[in-house]
Amino acid sequence: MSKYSQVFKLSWDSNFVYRFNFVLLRVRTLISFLAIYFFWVAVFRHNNQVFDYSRASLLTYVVVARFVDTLVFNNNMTGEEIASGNLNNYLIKPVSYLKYWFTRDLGDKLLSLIFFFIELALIMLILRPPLFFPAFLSDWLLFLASIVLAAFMYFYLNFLVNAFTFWYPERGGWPLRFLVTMLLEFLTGGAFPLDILPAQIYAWFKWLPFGYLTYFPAGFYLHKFAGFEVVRIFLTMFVWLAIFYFFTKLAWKKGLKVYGAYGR
Amino acid sequence: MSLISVSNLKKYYQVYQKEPGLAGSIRSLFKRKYDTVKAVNDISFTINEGELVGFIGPNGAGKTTTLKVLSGLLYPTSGNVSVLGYTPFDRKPAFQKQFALVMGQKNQLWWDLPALDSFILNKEIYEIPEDQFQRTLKELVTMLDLNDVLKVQVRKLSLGQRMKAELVAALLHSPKVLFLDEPTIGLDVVMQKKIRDFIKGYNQKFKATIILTSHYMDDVKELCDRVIIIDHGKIFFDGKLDQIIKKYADHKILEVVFADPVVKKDFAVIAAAKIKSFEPPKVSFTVKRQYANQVAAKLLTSLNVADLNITEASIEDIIREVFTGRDLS
Repeated sequence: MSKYSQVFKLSWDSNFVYRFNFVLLRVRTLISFLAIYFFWVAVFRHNNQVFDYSRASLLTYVVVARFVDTLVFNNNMTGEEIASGNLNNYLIKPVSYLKYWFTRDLGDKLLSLIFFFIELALIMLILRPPLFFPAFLSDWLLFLASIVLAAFMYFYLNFLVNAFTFWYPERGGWPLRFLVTMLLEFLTGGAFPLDILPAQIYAWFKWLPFGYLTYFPAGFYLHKFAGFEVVRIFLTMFVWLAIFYFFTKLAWKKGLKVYGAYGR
Repeated sequence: MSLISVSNLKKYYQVYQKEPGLAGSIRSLFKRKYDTVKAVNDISFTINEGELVGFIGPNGAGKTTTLKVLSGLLYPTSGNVSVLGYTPFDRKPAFQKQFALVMGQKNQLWWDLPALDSFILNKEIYEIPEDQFQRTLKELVTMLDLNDVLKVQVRKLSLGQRMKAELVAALLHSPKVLFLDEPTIGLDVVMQKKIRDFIKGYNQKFKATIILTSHYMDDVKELCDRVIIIDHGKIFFDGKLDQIIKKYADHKILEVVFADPVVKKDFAVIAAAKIKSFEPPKVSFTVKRQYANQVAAKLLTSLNVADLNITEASIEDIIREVFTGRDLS
């Protein structure tokens, strides 16, 4: 296990080498967060109740969604490593590439989390949003458990998307990754709670994996689900996780056979 | 016993062909034409423990592909490969702990961190005990004279320093088998020599089995008793380096410096010799081995010669001729 703790340490260290880039990346996502935040502030200017949401609950939702995103999403460069042939470095060593990246993600996420709380403190001071905490301990537990599951779902989904680079190595698989990122930004519920969509469309989202990456975990915080719905959400997440896991393993197994180990 | 054995190895790639121009691009959106590239086409060889073997061949000959198959990076199209008793593509940790691959044009070191950090990571990855790690590191760093730069960011190292650091990173786990792909590429002659001496020393000291590819004949001449020449994915020659001369060099080189001005017509008397270069007063000829003395005697009697030298064709020349497809036999 110590090999992965060393990976964690180096990943952490290199983020400090890149501290300027890291801060810029945080600023970029902070700006898109602020855009969403002020949009909702404007919507609630003259009403206190929109789509069954109070001003306080919707503003809490967008802040909580940002917290979920910080822990769920990551910046996985495996596609570039496949295209450039840098994957070779890991394939010849007694190290698991999946675990390697998982560890690097953990390092990145811990740092992002620290940044999140600094940003949150500033937002609380300057904007004074009407945030509230869950009323029950069970809400906290469901919230945190669903984030862990969502993080695993996205980890494998991301590996799967990047695995297409084995077959389409041009541009390091960037176009497909970009498309998926754009889709996710819209479909996961980071900008708005998915249940404000028309009921038929929302029904679809219950089957699709996207909402489970942000909306459903954040929903636990707001105590939106109870009883059988909680079970259904966790079951759906497990099923999607199993699907992503299976196809990731399959894609890597097949991909490594067509892998050209390029790069001169 | 043979440590590495390769039999009838083939590695074919599917390469997609795009016609040039916009029309070609649009056509390729709908229908892609694929070509099969036979990077390695049915090669067999065995290598014994402690051997230092040179792979030579022009660009695209299949040298690197072979090394990648031996390292388990590429899945062979067909054939059998065994290294240290393992099938490389299974990528068993027990196998991976016993070999290393160094590519002169690739780096494994973390670009933004000091080399020492990457070394410590490798220590953990290869599960090297602390005392062994310290001992090996000290030994390698001394051999390569690298002490001063261990704590400098890798991106700030010179190419030569980086190559040395790459070698250290690859050798920390004391691999029994070492694949070196162009380890001296882009380095100046002094640094080339240092790396070369290091490889030789490493081979002798640790009885490591080494396969080396290089474009620099000096690397191969100095390091390798045995060479395998690959061209177009096939083994062209496998044996001792000096046998290449015996096998392929059926001619000698006559280097002559004339005392009087000469023109090409003057050489009509020595029909058996072909002019290799004509830079009066220096002229060199290639002559079939058996006529060399005869031609030299004739030159000395019929023309005013200041200096005359008979030499063997150089290995570079022979190999160049082999690769450009000239008939030497």
